[in-house]
Amino acid sequence: MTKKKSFLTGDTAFETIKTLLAILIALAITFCVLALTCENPLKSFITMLTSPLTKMRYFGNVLESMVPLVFSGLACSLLFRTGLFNLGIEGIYYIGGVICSYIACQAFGNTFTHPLVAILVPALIGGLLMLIPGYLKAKYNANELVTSLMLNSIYLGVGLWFIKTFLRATDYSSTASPLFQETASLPYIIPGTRVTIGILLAVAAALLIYILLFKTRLGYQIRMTGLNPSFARYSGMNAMRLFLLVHFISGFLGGVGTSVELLSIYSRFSWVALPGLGFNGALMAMMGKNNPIGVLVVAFGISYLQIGAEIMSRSTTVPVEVISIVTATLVLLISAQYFLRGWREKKLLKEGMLHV
Amino acid sequence: MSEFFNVVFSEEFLSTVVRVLVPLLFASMSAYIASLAGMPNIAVEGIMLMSALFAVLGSYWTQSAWLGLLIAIGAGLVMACILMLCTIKMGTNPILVGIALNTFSASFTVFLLYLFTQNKGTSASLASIVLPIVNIPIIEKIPVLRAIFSGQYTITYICILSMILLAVLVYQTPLGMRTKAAGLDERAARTAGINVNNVRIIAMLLSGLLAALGGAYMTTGYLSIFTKNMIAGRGWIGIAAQAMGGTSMLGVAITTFVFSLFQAITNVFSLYDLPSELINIIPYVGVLLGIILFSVSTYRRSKKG
Repeated sequence: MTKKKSFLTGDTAFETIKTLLAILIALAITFCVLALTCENPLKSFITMLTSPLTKMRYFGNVLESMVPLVFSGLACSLLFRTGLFNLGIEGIYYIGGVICSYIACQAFGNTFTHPLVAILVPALIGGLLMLIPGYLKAKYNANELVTSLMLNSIYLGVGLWFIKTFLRATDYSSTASPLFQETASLPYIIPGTRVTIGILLAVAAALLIYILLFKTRLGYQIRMTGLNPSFARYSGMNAMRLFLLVHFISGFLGGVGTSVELLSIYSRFSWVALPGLGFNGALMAMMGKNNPIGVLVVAFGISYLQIGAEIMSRSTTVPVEVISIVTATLVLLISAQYFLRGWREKKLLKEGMLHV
Repeated sequence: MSEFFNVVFSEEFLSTVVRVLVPLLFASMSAYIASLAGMPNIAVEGIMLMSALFAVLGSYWTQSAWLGLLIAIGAGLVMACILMLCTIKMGTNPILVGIALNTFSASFTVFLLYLFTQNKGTSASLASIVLPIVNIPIIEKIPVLRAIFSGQYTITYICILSMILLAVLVYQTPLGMRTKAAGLDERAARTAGINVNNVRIIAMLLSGLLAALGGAYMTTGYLSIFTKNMIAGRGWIGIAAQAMGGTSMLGVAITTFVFSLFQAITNVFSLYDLPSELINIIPYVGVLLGIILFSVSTYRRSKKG
C-alpha cells in the first residue's frame, strides 16, 4: 500500500551503495597488495590516501592530472553512450599533441591568440581524423574497435616521424621538440601550482556535454541509439549524421584535451610512445557510467589516488602503477550489472512481504 | 628493388614469415574460439602481455623454461577466468571487460616488472631461460620445407599441434558443434538442451590458453626478455583477422597469414636505411586496409542480396 521505498533499495541509493562498496573492495585489495610488497604497508597506505591533502602543491598536482582525463573521459563517454566502442582518442591525443606542439613552437600572436590557435587547430583536426573510423562504421559497419586501434598505432608512427624529421630539438639528448614559445602556455590560476585555466575548461566541457546529452535533441538521439540501436533506424533518424557528429565531437574534445595538457604542464613535446591518457579516458567513462558529471568526479578521484600513489612510491619500493589494480577493480565492479543484485532482490522481497 | 625481391623470395624470408605468424595465429585463434561460442574475447592483447611477462618471471623463479611456460599459461587462464566471471556471472558487457583488462595488463605488467627488476622498461636483468630451437632430422635437409618446419622455436611446434587439435575439436567433435550452436543462437542452443554456460566456459578457457601460448612465445623464443608493451597490437591484429574470417577457421588462418606477410615485410624493410617509424606502421596499415576492403565488400554484397 505504501509508496515509501526503503532507503537502501531505491535506485540512486542502490547505485551509491554499490559504488561505495566497490571503492571499499578496491582499497582493500590495494592494501593487500601493499602488505605483500612493502615493508610498512599501513604507513604507505595512509600516505597514499592522505598525502595529496597535505600540501597545496600536491593538491594542485591532482587538479593538473585530472584535466586530460576529463577530456578523454568525456570523449569516450559520448562514444560509449551511442554504443560505439571506439578507442581512437588515444591516437588523437598523440597526433593532436604533435600538431599542438608544432604550433606552440612557432612565434606568432599574443598570449591569447597563440594558445587559442594551438588548441583549436588540433581540436578541429582531431575531430576530422575521428571521422575516418566514424564514417567506416556508419557507412560500412567496419569494426570501430579494430580500426581505431590500428589508427592509434599509425598516428603514433606518423607523429613520431614528424617530430624526428621536422621538429627535433638539436640541443636535447632524446627525441623531443624544441621548447614551446612563452606566449603559447596557458595562464596559471592557483599560485604555487601548475594549475592553469585548463581545469576551468575541463569543468566547462563537462557541463556543456551534460547539457548536450540531457537537454538537446541530439543528446536524446545519442542516448536512445545507445539504448536501442534499432530505434535510430525505425524512428527515421539519420544514423549516419548522428554517428559522424558524435565522432567529430569526441575527436574535438580529444584535440582540446591533449593541447590543454601540453600547454599547461609541458615545456616541450617528448612523448615517444602513446601517452595512455586516451585509454584511461575509456576507464573514466566506464566508472562514471558515461555521465559527464560522473566522469568529472571519477577523474578527480583517480587523479587523487594517482598522486597519492606517486608520493607513496618515492618512499617505498612500490611503483605508482599499483593504481592500475584500484582502477581495474573499480571498473569491473561498477560496470557489473549483477554485482549485489542478489542482495538487493532479497531485500526487496522481504520488504514486499512486510507490505502484503 | 631487385635486391628486395631477392630477400623476399628467399628461404630466410619464409622462415621470418613463420616466426611472425605464430603469435598472430595464436591471437586470432584465441579470438576465434571465443567468438565462435558467442562470447567475444577482446582481452587477447592483455592476456598475451601478461603471459609474456609470466613466462619470463616463471622461468627465472623455477630456472626451468617448461615450468615458466606452465606459469605463463596459468596467468593466461586466470585472466580468462576474470573475463568469464565478469561476463557470465556479473553480466558486464564483454567489450567493456576486455578494454578494462587490456588497460590493466598494460600497467600491471610494468608494476610487476618494477617490483622484480627495479626497471620499468625491460626484464633484461633477470636471467630467464628460453625454450630450445628444434631441428627436425630429414626435414632440415629439404630445401624450402626446412625453412618452415625446422630450426623454429619450440612453441612453433606447439602451435602447429594446437591448430590441428583445434580444427578437430571445432569440426569433428560434439563439443565443437555445441560451441558453434551456442554462438549462432543462444536460445535455440538452450532449447536443444545444450548447457550454453559450460560450453562458453570451455571456449573461454581455450581462448585464454591459446593467447597465453602466443604471449609466452614472445619471451621464450622470439625474444628472450620482456619489454614494456611488447605485444604491440598483435592481439588486436588477431581480433581483426577473426572479424574477417568469421566462423571459418581456415578463413581466419588465411587472413592471419596475409597479415603476417605485412609484418615480415616490415622486418625486411627495417634492414634498409628508411625512417623506422614509418616502416613500423606497415602491419597496421595493412590490417586497416584489410578491414576496410572486407567491410566494403560485405556491404556491397548485402546491398545486392
